[in-house]
Amino acid sequence: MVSTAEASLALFAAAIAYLATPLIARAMRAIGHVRPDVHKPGRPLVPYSGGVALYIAITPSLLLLVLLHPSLLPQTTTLALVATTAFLVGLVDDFKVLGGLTKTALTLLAVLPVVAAHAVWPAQVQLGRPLVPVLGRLRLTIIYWLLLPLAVAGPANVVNMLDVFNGVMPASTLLATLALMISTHVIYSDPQAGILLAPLVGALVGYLPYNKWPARILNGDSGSLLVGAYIGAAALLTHTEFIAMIALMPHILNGALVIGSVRGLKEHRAMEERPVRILPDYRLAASRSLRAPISLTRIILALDGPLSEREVAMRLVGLGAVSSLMALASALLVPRW
Amino acid sequence: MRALLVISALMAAIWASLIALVYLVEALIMRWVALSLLRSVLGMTAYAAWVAAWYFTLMRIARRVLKRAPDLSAR
Repeated sequence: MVSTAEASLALFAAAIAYLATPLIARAMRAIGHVRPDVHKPGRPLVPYSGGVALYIAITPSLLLLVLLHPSLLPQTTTLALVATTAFLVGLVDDFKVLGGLTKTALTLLAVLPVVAAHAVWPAQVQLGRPLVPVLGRLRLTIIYWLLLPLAVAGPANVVNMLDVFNGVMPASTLLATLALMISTHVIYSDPQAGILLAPLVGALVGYLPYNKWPARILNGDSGSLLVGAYIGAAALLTHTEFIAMIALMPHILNGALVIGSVRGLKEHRAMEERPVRILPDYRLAASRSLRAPISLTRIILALDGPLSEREVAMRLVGLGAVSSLMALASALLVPRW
Repeated sequence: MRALLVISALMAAIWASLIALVYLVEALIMRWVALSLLRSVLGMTAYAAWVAAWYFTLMRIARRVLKRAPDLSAR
């Protein structure tokens, strides 16, 4: 189902991410750019901004994609610019903490390359008329353009908000990206339909071994914003916005619960209370405080807790697997294109 | 594993209701309302109502689940 070109591109990105991540971790430790892993005994300091390794893996892969398929220059350029914008916003936040509102406003800028590409290459970068189950192309005109700014900033920020435990961000988004990639093959007859997603799939495969529990590098906002924005932009370019939304449903639910319960966009460091309590044996339990934010993790712990960090992460990734299967089911329900 | 089952069931309900809503908007509003602006307003209202309904349902379920969570400080 997946073409040789897609597999080769993913393998290329995976190799770069796998080789680059330990080097980036060492460099970050050398400059003292580390953060405490708060859910582990002794709160060990772990290198931060793993997004740098993801970016280093994605950009040459996009360059290789253009060399392999020069006709995809508009789409590839768009993805590279979106990824760069989101990555830079995240990197600035990693080194100099931005407010929740400022960060969200800056991620809105990441949609500009998509709009610019649509203006420059209208035939190649078509926007609007997303594919939906049963109906096929949806007639959205005014609503589509009203929601467009959120199409990249939305996924970027919700992925960022669920980046709370070792391995959850790369594992859950890898499942979502794979679901999106397979969905493009299900919908379109083109054997290269999913090639735009191959660099991200590969980068996440190569990076995951270093971020899975116990993490040897933390993603930082540079990682989570980059990955979320890439998924959003790729969904716009392949008209699979609906399918991406379903694949990222755990992230969206978590974002809605947190924003709703704290009544606005707040940086997690600015929240007075944590949704999760760490017990003396380092298991996690749901906060009993009425003022603590409501998050997906807190609900999981209320239903199944107390749990170890790894057990919570497994449940969050499990939810990612369920939503990815629902995304694939959605793709199967879309009339063939 | 109760959490995985409960939240997966919720996600499936949201997914199914969204597909039903998209179909209903297309079948009722887009097909039968002639005026473009009115179609947009009715369509946006339907989607906004769906978002609001699910948001309040989720918050209510979440608060109920959290209220029933065991109080570990009593152990």
